[in-house]
Amino acid sequence: MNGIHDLGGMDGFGKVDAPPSEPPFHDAWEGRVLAMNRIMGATGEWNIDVGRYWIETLPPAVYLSSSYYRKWMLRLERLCLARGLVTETELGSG
Amino acid sequence: MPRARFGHGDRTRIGLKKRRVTPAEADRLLVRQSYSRPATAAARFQVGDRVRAKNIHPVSHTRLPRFARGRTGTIERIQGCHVFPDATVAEGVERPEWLYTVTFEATELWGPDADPTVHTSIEAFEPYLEAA
Amino acid sequence: MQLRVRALETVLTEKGYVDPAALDRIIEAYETRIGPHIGARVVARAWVDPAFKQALLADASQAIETLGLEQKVGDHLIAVENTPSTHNMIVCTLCSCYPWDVLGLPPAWYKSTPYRARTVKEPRAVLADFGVTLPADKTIRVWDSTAETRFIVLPMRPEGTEGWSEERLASLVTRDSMIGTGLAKAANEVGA
Repeated sequence: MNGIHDLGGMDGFGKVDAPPSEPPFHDAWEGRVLAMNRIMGATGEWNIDVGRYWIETLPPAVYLSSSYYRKWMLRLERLCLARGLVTETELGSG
Repeated sequence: MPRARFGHGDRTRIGLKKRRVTPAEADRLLVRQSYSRPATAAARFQVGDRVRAKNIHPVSHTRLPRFARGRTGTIERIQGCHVFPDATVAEGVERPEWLYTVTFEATELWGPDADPTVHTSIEAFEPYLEAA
Repeated sequence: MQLRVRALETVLTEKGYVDPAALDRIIEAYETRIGPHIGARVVARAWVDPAFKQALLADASQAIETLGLEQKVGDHLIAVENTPSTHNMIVCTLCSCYPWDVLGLPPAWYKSTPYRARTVKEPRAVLADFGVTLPADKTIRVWDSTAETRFIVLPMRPEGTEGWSEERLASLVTRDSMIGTGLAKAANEVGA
């Protein structure tokens, strides 16, 4: 799709902000998100290409304003809901 | 081997059971799996061939970035056959396609004022390419 | 975000989809075991062993296999070599594809919109953001990881390092030098 994710060559994003070092995860929840995506990806409900597409299809404003791991979390929620693995109610009450 | 189906919204899973990954099995997930597949046809292009990335605009998933579409480059490397992402998502089937490293001059991608010392490559599946 | 993530993890655990201990295992691996030190070892070996370097440039996945490292490296890894005439940079414009197996987790900047948007078009300007200036006539090769191929840059061996042990050489190899946004450290930048 001609999505917002297809960023190569776009202008206006400013400088690359590259601190000399950073921890692997800025917050503990990021690690949980990464690991959950990895584990759930292995269930066979979706594969890596489908997973990428479900990030690409996030609304452009959401895509651009969400951190990397937030995008992964949104993708995971959407896919789990779509595959009937969880319900909205379950997500809400957790 | 049953064809795996992973279509958007398609919940058909053949031969896969719901099961938890154990901690010991989690180690396997730390290594990237292979997406190589046996070739089903000869490679259409050879190293050195001039190719043009097609001006396609799939509405589903594709790995051909817009900046390369319609642009002419050179086959630099043949990467073997891999699962074709576009077909995986749009059709829900695994189809192997030849993968190539295609290199473009910056002036070809970004116009005559671009930095002539820059060359940008993409990894392009054969369906993205036509002879130039 | 934390509560939301915990809610999802709780639901997935209760329904039997995930084992939190398996999640812990993955997190621990990326926090402690899998990181750029792996790539640095590979680079150091390539610097001292010409046969290994040739093998690495031909098929990095296969060559690294011969090192017998604890952490396995997946397929489709390509090593691209910096030379006096050529500098390489790796990017994934479409998402964040990165050689996780040898470098660990990608830094936030690699996944950021400025890096993904600008590197394929204006690599020298991006290098300037990293404080790196290259000769104007040096060739810059930018590799967009648009498929499952993963790339690692083999930086040039710094001068004045003749006779150094592999371990000491590896200490010169920064993560950024293996992505192409930096160069290996100079010999005098590390202790004896």
